Amino acid sequence: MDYKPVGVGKTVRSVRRTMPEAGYWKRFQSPVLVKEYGMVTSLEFSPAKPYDLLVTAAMRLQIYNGRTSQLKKSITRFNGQARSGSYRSDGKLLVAGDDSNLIQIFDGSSRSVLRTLKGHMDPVHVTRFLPDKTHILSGSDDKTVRVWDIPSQTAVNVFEDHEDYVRSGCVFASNANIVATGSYDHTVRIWDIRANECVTTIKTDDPVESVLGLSGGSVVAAASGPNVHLFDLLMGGRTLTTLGNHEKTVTSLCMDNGGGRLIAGSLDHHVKIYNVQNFKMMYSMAYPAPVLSVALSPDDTRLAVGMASGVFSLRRRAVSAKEQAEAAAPARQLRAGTQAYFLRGATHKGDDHDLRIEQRRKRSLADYDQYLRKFEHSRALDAVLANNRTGLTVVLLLQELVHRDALVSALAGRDELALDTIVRFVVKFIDQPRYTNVLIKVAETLLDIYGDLLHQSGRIAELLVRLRAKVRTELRLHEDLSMLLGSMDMLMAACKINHAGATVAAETASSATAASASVTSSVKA
Amino acid sequence: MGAKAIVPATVRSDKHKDPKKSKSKKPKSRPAQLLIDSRADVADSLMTPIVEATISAQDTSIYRAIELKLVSGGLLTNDPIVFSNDSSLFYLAKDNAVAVYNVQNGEMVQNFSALRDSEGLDRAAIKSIVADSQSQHGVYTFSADHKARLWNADSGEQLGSWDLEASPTYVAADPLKPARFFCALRRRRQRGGQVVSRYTVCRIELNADGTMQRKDLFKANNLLGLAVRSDGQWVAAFSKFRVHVAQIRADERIVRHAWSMTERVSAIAFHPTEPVLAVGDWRGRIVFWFCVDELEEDTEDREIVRRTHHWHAHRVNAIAFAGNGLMLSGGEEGVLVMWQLLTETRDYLPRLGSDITGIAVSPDQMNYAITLRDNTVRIVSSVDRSLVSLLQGLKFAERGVALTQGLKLAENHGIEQMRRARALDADPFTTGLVVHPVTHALVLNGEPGRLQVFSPLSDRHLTSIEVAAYTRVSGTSATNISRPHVDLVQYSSDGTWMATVDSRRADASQGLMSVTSSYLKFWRRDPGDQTYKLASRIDNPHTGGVSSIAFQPVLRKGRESLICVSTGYDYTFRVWELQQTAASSYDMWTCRNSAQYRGLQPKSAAFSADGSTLAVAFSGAVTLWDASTCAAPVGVLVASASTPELKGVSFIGASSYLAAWSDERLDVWNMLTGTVWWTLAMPIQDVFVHQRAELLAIAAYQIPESSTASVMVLSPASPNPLMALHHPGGVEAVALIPSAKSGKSGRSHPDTEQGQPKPDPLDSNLLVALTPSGLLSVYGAESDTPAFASSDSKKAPGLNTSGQAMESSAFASIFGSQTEQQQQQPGKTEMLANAQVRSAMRLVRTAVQSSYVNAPYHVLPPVPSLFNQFATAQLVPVATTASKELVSNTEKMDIDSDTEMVDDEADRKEQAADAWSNAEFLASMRRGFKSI
Repeated sequence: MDYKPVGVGKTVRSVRRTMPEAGYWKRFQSPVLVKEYGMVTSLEFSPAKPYDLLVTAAMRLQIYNGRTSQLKKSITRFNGQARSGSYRSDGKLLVAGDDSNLIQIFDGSSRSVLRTLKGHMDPVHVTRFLPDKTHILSGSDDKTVRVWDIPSQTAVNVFEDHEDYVRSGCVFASNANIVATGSYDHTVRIWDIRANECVTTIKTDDPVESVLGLSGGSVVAAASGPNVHLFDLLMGGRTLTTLGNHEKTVTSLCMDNGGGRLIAGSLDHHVKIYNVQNFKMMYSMAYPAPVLSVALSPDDTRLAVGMASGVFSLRRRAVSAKEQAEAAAPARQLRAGTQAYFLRGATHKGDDHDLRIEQRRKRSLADYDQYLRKFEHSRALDAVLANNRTGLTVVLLLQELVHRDALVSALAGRDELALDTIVRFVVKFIDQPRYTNVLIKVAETLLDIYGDLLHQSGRIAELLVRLRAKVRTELRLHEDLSMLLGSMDMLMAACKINHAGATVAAETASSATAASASVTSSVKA
Repeated sequence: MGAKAIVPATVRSDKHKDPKKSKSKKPKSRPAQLLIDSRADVADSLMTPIVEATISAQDTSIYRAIELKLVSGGLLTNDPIVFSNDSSLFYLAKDNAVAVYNVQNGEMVQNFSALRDSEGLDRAAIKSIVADSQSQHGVYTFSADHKARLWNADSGEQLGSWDLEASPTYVAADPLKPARFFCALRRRRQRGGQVVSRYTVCRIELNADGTMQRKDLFKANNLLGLAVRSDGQWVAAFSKFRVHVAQIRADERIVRHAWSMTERVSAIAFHPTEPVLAVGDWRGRIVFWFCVDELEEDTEDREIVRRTHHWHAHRVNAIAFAGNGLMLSGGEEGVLVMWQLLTETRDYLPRLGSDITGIAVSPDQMNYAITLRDNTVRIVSSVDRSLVSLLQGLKFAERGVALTQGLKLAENHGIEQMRRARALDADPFTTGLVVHPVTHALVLNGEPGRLQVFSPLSDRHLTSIEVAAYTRVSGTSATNISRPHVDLVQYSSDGTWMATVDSRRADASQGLMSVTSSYLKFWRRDPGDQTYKLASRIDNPHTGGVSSIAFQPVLRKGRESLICVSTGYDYTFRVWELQQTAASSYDMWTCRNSAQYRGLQPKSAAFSADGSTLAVAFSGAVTLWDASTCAAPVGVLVASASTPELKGVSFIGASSYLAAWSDERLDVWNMLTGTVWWTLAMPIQDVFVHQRAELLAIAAYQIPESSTASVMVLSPASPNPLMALHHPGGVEAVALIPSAKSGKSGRSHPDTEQGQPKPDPLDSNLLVALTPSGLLSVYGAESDTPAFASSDSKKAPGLNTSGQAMESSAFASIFGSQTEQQQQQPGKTEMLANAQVRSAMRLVRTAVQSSYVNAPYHVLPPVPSLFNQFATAQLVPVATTASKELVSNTEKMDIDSDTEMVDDEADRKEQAADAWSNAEFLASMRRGFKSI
């Protein structure tokens, strides 16, 4: 039951419905669009600094510098569409398949072909290095999944359980002996390289376009049709959840560095970001063309999205100095007993997601509010007029005086000088539609109080003449407007009658009467 | 009383309107007679009101036993509250009952009434309550039926009764002797066409054998208050312009004196130690009369030394003295003024929200109780002035009582009453009873600019929603202060949105124009704290004001397109649309379109259940519009050429019927045939249409010569009421609220046994009727088990804290002892825990009933707590007799935890033993599960 300042309900401050995280993803700004030679089917950031971007498009691999985003190298040693360019975990070697059934291994710096692996009968869509750096996983349209030994250039494992094209695959950083592949036969299969067999088969409703092992290796995300399924491998492939926020086929998945967010790109032009803890969508971004591939740099600063139009977009997040410093210098271990140790945490401002309990500061009231609180209405009016405040504030105070039935006492007993400001205010704002109601009342009250004394002050009389002129102009404008409205209504009614010739006569009559009624009412107004 | 009364409810068929109707199975119309049980007597009013209402209409007689479940609401603040002798409880009079509350938490502890037999309500109204000085929780009541009674407030047991042979109006205890009182007895007398209340102020002594001794002190007319000094020798009473003082000397000689005053007296009080009588008047002065010491019969007026204390700008409503030389006073300003008489300084407790009408100081001087005009009692700690507890009643009761009793009180408070009536004119009851779609609480006008959310089942004020912010100021009687007023409130069908219309009229004493501004506000429920936050405000949506608003039903949860329609006095209705663009995450409501119809004024609007059709009542016609376009009416329904102006229109649930009503009749249309299905001609006060079920409730105007008003519940298919009752003393508004019990478990009904299930409205719904005096009567189907937790279940938690909490000394409360904290805490936590346990158990029970399939997993309690219930429920058929007993025991335990009657020690031990064996058994079950 506190005192409520004047104008406390002046504006409605709406409640924002955004999550705190949206701000983070919003900071991925200034998209750079780069045109490639064909559809950008695969994107990958180098795991080594400065995190070069490897783009697979048409018959070449393009490497963009991580710092300058300029084209650094281009590998064109393909006889067909290049597929699935991928880095080794040290960023030194590259592997890519192509439509001529080959798998080629390149040196990242010299672009020379180090090995060529032959064996697949159909285009190779998946190539990945295994975490042990000496093996390669490949999947092909000939329905086979192979694991190659690089030194000997032979396939150590050939898995032939899939019944359709193998279009996606992933390796697990934590376990080099397990790989997962997704196929157009609507299954995700988990293979054990040592046992040389399929250990788990997970059925989905649609062809699998992308599989991704989540951090820890116990969960696999699979994009099947418009849905992204999360499967728990420890429970034998039980579905954890299904994220159904996309409208068209999801083509690509990737994780952020911390492993807490899953990023999915889809043919419906959208990239959506999910929290894998609670499976909620955190943010959504729209792109101009169907999205074929997404990648987020290992330092979480660049988001690359490849599209079917042959364009890929690179968004960069501005990194604050604080974050940079944190990344550069991990927390220093403080020695007990030092001053730094004693003062530790004193300057900590709290994280963005922390719940802050603020000390409630005492509101300071404006001078006019303080007067109003003490029922000094006249002085409150003087105060609000004195300091060049906005018209709205003054009008709200006048309205409060009207509500308190204190307008007369606030306006009465003024001399020429004190009256001047209030009359000037009325003259200035009386034609503002929002203020008119109140100011008409103020003007009437002024005339009631001071009407007999007008001849004593030339200054006030002059102001009142101006007021009268302004009101007259306004009235004339209103007359013109209502005439215009009336004639427009007549035109509209005539149009309606012409168009609706076939409709029942009664209805047209009613509309005509309604139109004429509105004309008369507007003229009256 | 006659056994039969014919309600002017006739059913009429409009044969000329629709010839096809003969084919349909419209029931043959015949005047419906309401046969009322002979018990429907006036005298038998609230406690055992009418109850059976039979309707002989068709061959299938629709008979339903209805019972009054409870009466809630009512005015709590008629008189200042009374503290119990040990300051742990306080008493207040609610018509004919005494409600006992705990001081520390404001919970009702006990409620008792003498009205068990056929005594009338008015005659038994309690006029005064006095705490018994001999016992801790004894209390004397003095009621209008000329009786004094002694009660035990803990048990609600009547200990004694005395006949006073006159109506006791003002009573105060004699501090010298227990069971002795100073009392103003009233007799009405006709004098020159004017009723004069003649009072005899006397001292009465109630003896244990039921007899009474009486000693008359003086006589006076039209007394307004009584005060007794703490030494028991001085008694003062006042009327408008007179103060009477009497001294009872040690030799039982009585010295009387009376003075005429120039200013109207409003309150008097004796200083406990100084020889001072404090007199408050209408100009806001408190005058100290140093008259108590040397008063003789012939003392002149001017010989008395006086001293004026003046702070109040308006009249002083209450004066009270606290022990340490502190005087408390309060009035219309809503400021409690604490006068430090020794140092002549004042201290204030400002902005209490409403006029102060009474102040009471607890016997141990620890708490002050402030009674406010808006039906609120605040208990404030005397030490740090913090709020100890707050008791809020139905705000409607205050205005209701002011209007209904205005005439009665006019003799005493003429001008004041007129002023209040005028203030209430500016703040009428416009929202009606609105049922919140999720919580099923009632939402209605509260204080100016606010909405009150009230639970009729628990008789509890839930919250108050501030719709229009304003600073409450008080003015002199000449000024015309305008306060904001909430005109309308509506909720979207899922409760996510609330729309309100509030207006503020300013027709000051000067000037020609009255500036009325109205605001349409849209509020969104914050899922976090479940409060409504303002999302959009539209200034002056209609010039002249808004007459109704309606939301489109939300069909699919999470669908964000929503429209709302408002009808206004500017002959248009407008459609508002929720704008939620992806770019801006702000919710915004904008006007989509506006429409007119033949220059008529729209009064009401409603959406069909699927949200596709909008019905707007223009004068006597109901126009139908396509909700998606609203370009031109797609249909017009006119019942007859002479239909009076319609007050409201609504689709009835998901059925194909539409109801349109005016002051005199109600038409129900079948939208499939486009014809009037039936018509009911009766004076209609209020119609409530249930949003989910296909039901409507109608309240009729009170017929002048009868003392009751009829209320009926109908199904749209037929004009024969499913249920009808006569409510004593008029009905302001009705509402149907879903009861806690689901409709499925309704006991079998004669009609359902014949194979044709009939909607049984009161099995799953309760009928709430709001009387003009602010009482909420809740009716439900007669049943053996209560459909909801009655207020009795709250007795225990209140009592828990009452015991030792008040023993704390002043020292402890000043320096904040830990023991006090600990004493208070267990009660609270226990209550919390009990509430949690109760809600968890309820969930468990529903989950067990629904076989775990219907409730989403995230609302279920954790599996371990479900397990026991589940296992025991599953094991019933295969268990042996021993385990059967086990199961029944667990069920018993549930009930016990619900009603919290665990005070029986032996019972508890037995249960513990059972629970132990139960636990052992369940543990083995768990092991079994694990091995699987």
